[in-house]
Amino acid sequence: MKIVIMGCGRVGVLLARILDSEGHEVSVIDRDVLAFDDLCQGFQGRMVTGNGIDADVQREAGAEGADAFVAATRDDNTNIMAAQVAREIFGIPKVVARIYDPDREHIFNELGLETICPVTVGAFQIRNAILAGALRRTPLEAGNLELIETALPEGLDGRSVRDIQSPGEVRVVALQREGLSMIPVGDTKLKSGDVMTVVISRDVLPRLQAVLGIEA
Amino acid sequence: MYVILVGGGKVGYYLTKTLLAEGFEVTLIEKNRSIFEKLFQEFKGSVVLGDGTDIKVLHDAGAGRADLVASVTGYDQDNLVACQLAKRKFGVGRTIARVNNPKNEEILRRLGVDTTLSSTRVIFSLIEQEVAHGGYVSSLTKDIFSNPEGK
Repeated sequence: MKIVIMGCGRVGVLLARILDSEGHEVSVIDRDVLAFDDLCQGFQGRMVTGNGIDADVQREAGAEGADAFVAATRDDNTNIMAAQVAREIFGIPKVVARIYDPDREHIFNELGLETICPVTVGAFQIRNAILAGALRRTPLEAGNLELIETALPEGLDGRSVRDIQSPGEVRVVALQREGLSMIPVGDTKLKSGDVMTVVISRDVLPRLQAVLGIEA
Repeated sequence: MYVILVGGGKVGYYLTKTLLAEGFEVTLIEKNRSIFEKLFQEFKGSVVLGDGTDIKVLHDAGAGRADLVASVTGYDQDNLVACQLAKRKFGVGRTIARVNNPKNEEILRRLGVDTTLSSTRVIFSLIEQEVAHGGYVSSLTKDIFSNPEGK
């Protein structure tokens, strides 16, 4: 794949190195020529100095005919604009923008940009790390669905998957038991210690926690 | 008519002053505290401290009832985002963006900004017209002939 990365900070550098080592054709844009210092060792791709919101700079970096564009500077608005230039002017099929502000991320995601919010992702990961005994929560990118993972408490031994599910709100999508994983059906009987992966609407999370007897 | 302006630099300052004098209801949003404090001494309640590309700040400034949002910062990306949020999040009828790099004018319009204005482009067109009409050339030659020693 031909990939353009704007922003040669920590994420940009690591991403460029990973993709480059996988054999992709990578070019990196940064306003500061010194930013490329961290990249140089062994990097095969191109380095373009300039402001990535400028269509001419994107063109110089090979945006015409690129398969993907990543906007990863530390400025949200720069990323939002550059991503839209990549999509609208150059018609790049896969465009991803990193946006730190969760509210801004949410609205531009609704407006059709593919976005990644490191603040939201980081906060949930830290939450999961400090609350090891509780539900592991991973929000899905759009809307209010979450993927949660939890070990089944003893009280529910022998109950069916159906007892936990609720149409359109809660669905058990995977069970891990004794080193194996399976996709359960409604009749599948649960055993204490099973690790369940559940897709759930955020609104009914408290209800599931009550059923399972697990604190938030 | 309620107007929200984003960016309290020179353009934002004189716009606010002019619009207030004309009797418009205006809120100017400025994110730099020391610039805000200077503006506040003159405009009082018509200026707020905050980032005009932040949804909460726009909301608190009353974007929901604004007739027009004009974003006039020195950064095209900030002007784009302020206008896009105003339009799509708050349903503001008319958005205007100051464009610093004239090449971005068309891009901002394609991305949904109603009106764009680039002073570089305006002055450039005037110079072009001047050259096309011979004004520039003739005044230059006139100057050379009337002042041959270059004094």
